Amino acid sequence: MLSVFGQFSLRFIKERKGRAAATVFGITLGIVVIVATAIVNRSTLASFKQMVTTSAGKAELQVLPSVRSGFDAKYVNVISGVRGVKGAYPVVTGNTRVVKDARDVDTLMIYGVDASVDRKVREYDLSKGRFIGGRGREIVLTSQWASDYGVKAENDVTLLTAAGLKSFRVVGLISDKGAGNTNGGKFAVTDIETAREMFTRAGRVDQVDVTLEDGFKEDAVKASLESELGKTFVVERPAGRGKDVEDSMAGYQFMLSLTGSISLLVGLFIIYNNMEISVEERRFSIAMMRALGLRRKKILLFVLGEAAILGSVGGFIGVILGAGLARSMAMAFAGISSALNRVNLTELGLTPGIFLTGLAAGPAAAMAAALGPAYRMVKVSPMEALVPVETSWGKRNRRTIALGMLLLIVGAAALIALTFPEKFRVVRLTEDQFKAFGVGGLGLLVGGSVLLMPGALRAFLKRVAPRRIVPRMALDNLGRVSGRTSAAIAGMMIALIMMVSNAAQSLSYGEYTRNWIDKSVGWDMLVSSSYFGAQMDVPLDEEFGRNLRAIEGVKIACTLRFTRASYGGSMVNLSAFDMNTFFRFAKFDLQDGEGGKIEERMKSGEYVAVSSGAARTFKLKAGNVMELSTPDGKARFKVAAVVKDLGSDNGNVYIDRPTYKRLWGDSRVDGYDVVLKDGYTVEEVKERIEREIGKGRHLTIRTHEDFKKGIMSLVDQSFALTDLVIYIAVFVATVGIMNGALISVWQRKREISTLRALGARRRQVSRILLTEAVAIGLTGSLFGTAIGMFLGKAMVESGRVLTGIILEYKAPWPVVVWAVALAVGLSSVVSVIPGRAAARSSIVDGIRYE
Amino acid sequence: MKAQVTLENVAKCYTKGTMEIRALDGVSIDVKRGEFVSIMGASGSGKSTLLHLIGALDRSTAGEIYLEGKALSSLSDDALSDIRRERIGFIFQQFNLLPTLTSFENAALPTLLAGRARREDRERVREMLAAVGMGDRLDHKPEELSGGQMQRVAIARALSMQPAIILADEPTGNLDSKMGEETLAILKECQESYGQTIIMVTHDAKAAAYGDRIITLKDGKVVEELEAI
Ligand SMILES: Nc1ncnc2c1ncn2[C@@H]1O[C@H](COP(=O)(O)OP(=O)(O)O)[C@@H](O)[C@H]1O
Ligand SMILES: [Mg+2]
Repeated sequence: MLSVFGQFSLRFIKERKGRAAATVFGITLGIVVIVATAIVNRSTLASFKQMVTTSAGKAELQVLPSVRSGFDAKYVNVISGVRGVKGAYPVVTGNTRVVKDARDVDTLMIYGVDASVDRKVREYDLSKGRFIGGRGREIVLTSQWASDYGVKAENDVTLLTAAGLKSFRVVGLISDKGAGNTNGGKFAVTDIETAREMFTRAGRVDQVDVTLEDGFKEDAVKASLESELGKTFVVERPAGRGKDVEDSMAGYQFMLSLTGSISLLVGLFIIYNNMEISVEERRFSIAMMRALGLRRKKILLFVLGEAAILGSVGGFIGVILGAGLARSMAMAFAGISSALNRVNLTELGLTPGIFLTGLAAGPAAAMAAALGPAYRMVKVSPMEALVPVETSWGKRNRRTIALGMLLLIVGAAALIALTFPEKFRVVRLTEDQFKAFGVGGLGLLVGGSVLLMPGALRAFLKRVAPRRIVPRMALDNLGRVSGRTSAAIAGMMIALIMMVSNAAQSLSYGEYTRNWIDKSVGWDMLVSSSYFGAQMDVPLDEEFGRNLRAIEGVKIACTLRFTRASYGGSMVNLSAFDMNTFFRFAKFDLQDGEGGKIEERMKSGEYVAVSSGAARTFKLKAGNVMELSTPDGKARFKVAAVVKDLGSDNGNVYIDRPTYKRLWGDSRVDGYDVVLKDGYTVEEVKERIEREIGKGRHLTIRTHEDFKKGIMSLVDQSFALTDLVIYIAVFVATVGIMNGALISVWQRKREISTLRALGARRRQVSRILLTEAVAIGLTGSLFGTAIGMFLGKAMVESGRVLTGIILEYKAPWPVVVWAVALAVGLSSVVSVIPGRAAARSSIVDGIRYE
Repeated sequence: MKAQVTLENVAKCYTKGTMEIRALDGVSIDVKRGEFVSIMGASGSGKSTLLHLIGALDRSTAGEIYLEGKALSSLSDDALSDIRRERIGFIFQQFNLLPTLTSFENAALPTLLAGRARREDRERVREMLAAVGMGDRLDHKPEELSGGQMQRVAIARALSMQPAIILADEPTGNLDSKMGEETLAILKECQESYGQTIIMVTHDAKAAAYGDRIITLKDGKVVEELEAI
C-alpha cells in the first residue's frame, strides 16, 4: 500500500517539482497572511495597551481618589490597617516636561514612590547605576528613553516643576521589564517627597497600590476598603484603571479581530484553491487507480497524506516568512504614523501560540481543502472522471438577485433604525446589543452584495463591450467560478467598507471639532505652565494671573482649572472656569438649556453645565440635580445647560471657579485664557509675557491657531491607527485576488492554449486576466465604497445614541475616489503575474491530451 | 514553384526528468500549395509534434521551417500568433471548443481575435457553419452537441479566416465512420474548391488515402513517402 502511495503522491511530488512547489507556495502564502496579521495585531494591541496603561506591578488592588488633587497621606495607614491588606504603596504621579537648552524635549510620566518599600510591589530591573535613595532630586529613567535622548547614568536632566525648572540627577536606568514598560517607556521614578514638591502635593497621595495577604479574595478586600474609606475613594483592580482603557480599546480590538478573521478566511481560501487544483490535476491518475481496482477510502487516504506533507512544508515556511513580514510591515508603519512610533518590537516575535497555530493550520487546511475535490472525484465513475467538468453562470439568477436585494434592504433598514434618536426607538438597546445589531445589519449588507455581485459583474462586462472577445472571455470565466470570484470581491469590499466608513467618521468628527473650536474658543492665547492638557499636572498660581493681567496688551485673563471629581461612583472631568470673565469672550455651544439665563446661572455657583457626553452617560438634562463629591462630603448643583463638547468619554462638568475653590479647597491654576486689547498682535504680547513673567517657568503659550492645529492632529492620529489595520486588510484582499487569478489560469490552461493556437497574441491573453482583475476591483470597490458610505453615515448618526455627540455626516468623497482607484489599481497590478503566466505558458502543453 | 511549407532537417527534443526524448529527428518535407498530405505513423512516432511545429504552436530544437517563404525561427511571438490566426486553420482531435461559447461564437473566435466583427465577417462565419451542416445550431453550447457536431464547429472555426493552410490532427479519431467520412469530404472539398493546402495526421489508412501523398513517421524520422495514384 505504501508503494501505491509512493506511486501516487511521492512520485508526483518528486517528478512534478514545479506543481508541488506551486501548491506549497500557495499554502505558504496563506499561512504568511494568517501569521503576519496575527503578529501585527498582537503587537499593535500591545502598543496601544502600553500607551494607555500604567504599571501596577504586583498590586492586586488600587485605591484612587475621587478628586484630582489626591487624598491625604494619612489614608495610607488606614488602608494598611484594613483586614487582608498586606502592603499599601503610595504613589504621587504626574506628567512633566523635559527641557534641554530652553527647548521642550519630551513628556515624562513621573512616579513618586516610597523608595524603601516600593520594590516589593513593582519590579525595577536596573541595567545601570542604582535605585533612588530617599529624598533629594534623584530619578531613575528607562534605558530606552535614556538612549533615545542620549542621556547616561550620572547625567543631569532638567524637568519642569511647580517651582520652575529644576535639575535632577539620573542615578540609574531600568530595562523595559516590569515598571520600565509603563507609558511606553516615557517614565521616570523619583522619591515621593520630591514628587510632592514637583507637583505641589504636600501631604497628599494620588494612588495607593495594594497587595493582599494570602487567602484573601480581591472582592472581599475591595468591599472592606470601600466601606472603610467611603465614597470619595475608588477601589479598582489595577488592570482596570481599567474600564477607561477597555472602553477605548474595545473598538480597536473589534477592528483587529475583524482583520484577523478576514485574513484567516483569505489564507484558508488560498490554501483551499491550491489544494483543489493539485487534486483536480490528477483527476486522470485517480481515475486510473480506480479503474485498477483501488478502493475509494485508500485514494482519499493518499490524498490526505499528500496534503499533510505539502501542508506541513508550506506551514513551516509560512510561519517563518510571516514573522518576517510582520516585522517589516510594523517597522514601515512605525515610520509613518506617530501614533504608533513606539511599536513594541519585543511583541513582534512569534509566540508559541501563533507558531503552533500556523504550523497546524497548514496541514489542517490543506487536508480539509483536498478532501472535497478528492471525494467528488472518487464518487463519479472512472470514465466520467476523465472528462473535465464545466459549469456556467447557471440558472440561479432571478432568485439570487431577489434574495440579495432582500438582504440589502433588511441590512440597510437595520442600520438606519440605529440612527434614530433614542426617543423614537421603541426598544431600548444596551450598548452591546446596539453594536450587535449594527454588526448584524452590516453582515446582511455584505451578504446581499455577495449575492448580487455576479449579476453586477455580468451587467458591467456586457455593457463594456458585448462583442469584444477579451471582456467576453473574462466575463465567462468570472461567471464560471462565481464562488471564488465573489470571495475575491468580498475581501476587497470589506476592506474598503472599513476604509470609507472610517474616513466618514474621521471627516465628520474633524468637521465637528473645527466648528466647535470656532464657536467655543474665543480666546487669543492660552497660557499654561508647559504643555497644556489633562495629562499635565504642573500648575500655576493666582499670583501669576495677577501679573499676567498687568502685561501691556492683555485685556482678559480667565483662570482655568481642569480636574476630576466623583459623581455617583464614577469619575467625571471637572472644568472650573472663572465664569465672570469667561462669558466676556466665550459662549457655550448649547445642546439643551435656556440660552438667555445661562450666564447668570453659571456665575451664581449654584449651577453647573454638562457636556453632551456627560449628559448621555449620566442621563442628565437641563434642570436636573447633580450631586458631586467634595473632600468634605457632597455638594448639590442644578444643571443649567448641556454643552457640545469634544471627546466621547464620560464628558465634562463645567463649574464656576470660585465655587470650586471654596468647596474643594484647591486654588491651583492650570492655565489662563487670554484675550488681547485691540491693536496688539499675538506675537508681541506673547513675547512680552515670556520676557516679563515667564522666566524659569517654561511657559507654554499657544495661540488660537496652534491650539486648533494641535487638536486637529490629535483627531487625525486617533484615526490613523485604524488605518494601519485597514491597509493590512487591503493587502490581504489583494493577495486573495492575485491567488484566485493564478488558480484560474491553471484551470483554464486548455482554453488559453486554444486561444493562443487560434492566433491570440500574448497581450490579448494577459488582457483577459487584466479585465477580470479590474472587474473584480471595480465591483468590490463600488459595493465597498457604497456600503462604506452608508455604514459611515450610520455610525456618525448613531453617535448621538452611543456618545451623545451629534455629528453632521460628511461624505468622504476623496477617500471614495482613492479607494476605487486603489482597488482597481492594485488588482490590475497584481494581475500582471497571472497574466504573464497565462501568456507565457506553452501552447502545446495546454492542448495536448495524454 | 517554391513549396508553401518546407521543413529542413527539423528536430524536436523534450526532456522529461533526466531523460531526453527525440520526438522529431531530422525531418525534411516540402508541401506545395494546394496539396493534401496525409501523415501516418504509430502512436508516439511524432505526428502531433510535427503538426504543432508546422502550425507555429511551438519552436523546433534544430533545423528550420519555412512557411510561405518565412523562416519561423526568426519570427517574434506576435508574428507567429498572426500567422496562426491569418494563415493557418487548426483542427484538433479533441475539438478544443471553448465550453462557455456558442457554436457561432466558437466558430467566430479567430475573426474576433483579429478584431473583425463587421457584418460581412459574421456573415462569413454563418456561411461556414451552414456549409458544415451546423447552420441550425448557432446558439448551442458545446455540451449540447454530439462529437460529430463539435468537430464540424471546430472545422468551421478552422475555415472561418479562409486560411491558406489547414492542419488537422486525427480529425476522425473521435468520430464514428459516417461522421469521419463527412469530415474527410469537407477537407477534400476545401482542397478542390478553394485550393487550400491540407496536412492531416491520421493512423487510419482509409482516411490517409484522401491525401495526394502519404508520409509515414517512425521514431521521429520520415521512413516512407508515397504518392497517391
Ligand atoms: N510536452 C512533451 N513533453 C515530453 N514529451 C513529449 C511532449 N510532447 C510529446 N512528447 C513525446 O514525444 C513523442 C512524440 O509525441 P507525439 O508527437 O504526440 O506523437 P503522436 O502524435 O505521433 O502520437 C512521444 O514519445 C511523446 O511522449
Ligand atoms: Mg498525436
